[in-house]
Amino acid sequence: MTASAALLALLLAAAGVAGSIERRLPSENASFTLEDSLGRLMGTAKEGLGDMLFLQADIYFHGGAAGRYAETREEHAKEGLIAHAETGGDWIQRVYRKVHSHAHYHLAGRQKQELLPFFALATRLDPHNIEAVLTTAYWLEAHFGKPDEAAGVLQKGRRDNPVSWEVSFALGSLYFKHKQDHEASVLYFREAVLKSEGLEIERYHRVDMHYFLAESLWRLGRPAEALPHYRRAVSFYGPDESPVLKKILLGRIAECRVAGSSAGDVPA
Amino acid sequence: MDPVIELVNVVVRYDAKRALDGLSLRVHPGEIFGFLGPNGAGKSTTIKTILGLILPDSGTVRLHGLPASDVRARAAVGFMPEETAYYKFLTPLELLDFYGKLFGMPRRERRERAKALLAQVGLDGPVQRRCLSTFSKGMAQKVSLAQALINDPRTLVLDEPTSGLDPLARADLHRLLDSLRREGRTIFFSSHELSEVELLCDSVAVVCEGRVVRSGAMKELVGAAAGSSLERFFIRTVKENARS
Amino acid sequence: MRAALAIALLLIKEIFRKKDFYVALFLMGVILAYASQMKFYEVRSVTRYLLDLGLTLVFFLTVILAVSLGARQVPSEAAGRTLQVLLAKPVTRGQFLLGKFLGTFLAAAAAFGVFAAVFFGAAFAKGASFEGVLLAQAGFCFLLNLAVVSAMAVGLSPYLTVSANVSLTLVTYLAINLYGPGLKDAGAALAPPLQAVTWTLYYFLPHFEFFDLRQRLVHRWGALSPKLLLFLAAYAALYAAAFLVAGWLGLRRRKV
Repeated sequence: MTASAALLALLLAAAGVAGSIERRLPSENASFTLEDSLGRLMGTAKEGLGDMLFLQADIYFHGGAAGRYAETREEHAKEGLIAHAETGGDWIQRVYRKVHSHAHYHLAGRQKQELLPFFALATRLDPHNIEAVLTTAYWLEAHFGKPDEAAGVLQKGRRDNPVSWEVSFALGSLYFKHKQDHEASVLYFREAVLKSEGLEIERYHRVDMHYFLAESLWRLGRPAEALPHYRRAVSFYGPDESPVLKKILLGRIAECRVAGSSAGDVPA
Repeated sequence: MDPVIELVNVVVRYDAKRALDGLSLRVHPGEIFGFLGPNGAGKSTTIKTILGLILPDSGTVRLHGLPASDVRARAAVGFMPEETAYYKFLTPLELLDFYGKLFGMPRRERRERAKALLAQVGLDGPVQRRCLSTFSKGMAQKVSLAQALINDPRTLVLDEPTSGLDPLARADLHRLLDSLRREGRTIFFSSHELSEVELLCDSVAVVCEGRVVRSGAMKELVGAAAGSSLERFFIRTVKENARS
Repeated sequence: MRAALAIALLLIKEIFRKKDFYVALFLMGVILAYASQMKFYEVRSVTRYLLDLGLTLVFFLTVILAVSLGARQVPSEAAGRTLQVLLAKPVTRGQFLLGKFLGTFLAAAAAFGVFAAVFFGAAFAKGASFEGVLLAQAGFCFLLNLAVVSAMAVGLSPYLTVSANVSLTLVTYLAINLYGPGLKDAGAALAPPLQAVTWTLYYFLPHFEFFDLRQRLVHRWGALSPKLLLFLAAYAALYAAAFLVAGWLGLRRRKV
């Protein structure tokens, strides 16, 4: 046996022993995961890699073209070729664009499955990338018809990011829309409301949190608990804002009252 | 008869230092020419200049009537360096085959010649197919000599050819050089072994500080007087040069 | 030419008799084997990530082998004194350098062939398919890329030590691949002296990204036009020649 072969065998044996020791080390999670080993080996570089892979998902979605896109709402929803590549620039840029296609393209149909490895790896390598967690869950649920897997991603995201209201809200939405499990959705929407208190977030997020919490409570037949949340949702709008949404909310408030909730002042 | 090797007022500089300082010598066809000098005198630099490995800063160097820088001049030359140099991942047969290709030898001829040469230097049998990285210094020296002969050269340039060889191998080499001389080949070699130079050489030159200080036929320089020897001549010459 | 080819064939023997190639092959095999057995949410038919990873490994491992082989040619021959023995034969310095370049290129191309065979075997086994013309073009363009990289490593070897050459060549290669297209825009945002430097690099360094057809192959963008391929071949030939001439100038009067 040559020295090289002996060294290789020794390295493989060492890797096996290391893996075996890893399984026996105490860790937060009960089971040994690849991320634990990678975390020890790579440190925070692991998370950097995960974030890179998340960006790669966007590049893959655009057919490998890493350009900048200012998409309109119509283009955002389209599949296949959206627009041909821009022209101009010097000869180097023109040759580069001929070799590396820069046409605006979205993956279509089953092609979108090609994004899955990047979503999976991005969330595994950087579990604190909230955007990756939410995006992965969205795609699993909305494009691949895998709500259970989406819930799994969000549950793990919730454990890894206990202060994130976004993940709690996404879980609530998933259980509300797809699983029709309003007990669970109430839990998560309440959590989202609590976690977001004192934070500066967009108004419409707060409206959504209170509205869907109220809707969940309403569907559970708990109008008295739902009423304050409907009121809270309405309170975010000024007198002339969102008349359609306000009409819906006011309608629900009236229904809650009829259903036996206590009377309250409602802004005119 | 035109000299096989001719250097006229050759100057070679390494930065500010003159390694060769107006060196001139001639080597005639069919002779064994010994090239002597103390360490750092310029022996290896002279050999490299003859072979076109170093281009002189001034002066002329001719090999077989052509400028030494002309690649055609080296077509009939075999060179054995002072330190063995080989590609460790090759076998001796492959090494000689490679060098034979560089001379444009047909495949069959170079393979047969490679086997014969290796046998001639005492490397016969399975050892010809062993990797050179496993060879001892003496074995590598033999391979080095064999590669110098692969093209059946008219002229051999040898830099300390017996360095690293045991007495038996040394005697074999002496016999080989003698037979090559009888075939009319020219041999130019440098050595610190004065006894073998005295035994083999027809002519010698002594170089000191980049210049040839004495050169000529062995018998004329060393003298026929009792007690005269190349060693005494060499020491006397070097000391005289140092005094002047 | 005979001497150059003889020297070239020597390098092909060298690459397959030393450990580097086998280490790279083993590494590629391990990474691909691990990547191909990964499952993502129970969906089996995803292949692009594997193609992308496999092609990246094949390309970059081959480039690393080419650079490490090319960079050590002149320094190791000089240090081992084989350069003296070689140039004492009827071989010009130009033939020597040309032989080293051809050998580096052919040896790396042979390694590329082996890596590609292993990779495509795994890819086809996983159900991947490729457009034949584009596949051939990708291989051709990669060989052009290899020619420029080999010439760069060999051309710099008379001037630099092995480690300096490997570092400089690989860093330049990676930097141009990653940032080459954006150098002009980046330079536009800089103050004049730095801008001049950036734009000089942009216009004078070889744009290796021209030869990278991985995006087209993985994402099925279709073949290149013959005119563009011809341009890329001429571009590669120009840069390879420039690097080799630079190397020859460094070797021409060198005291061996």
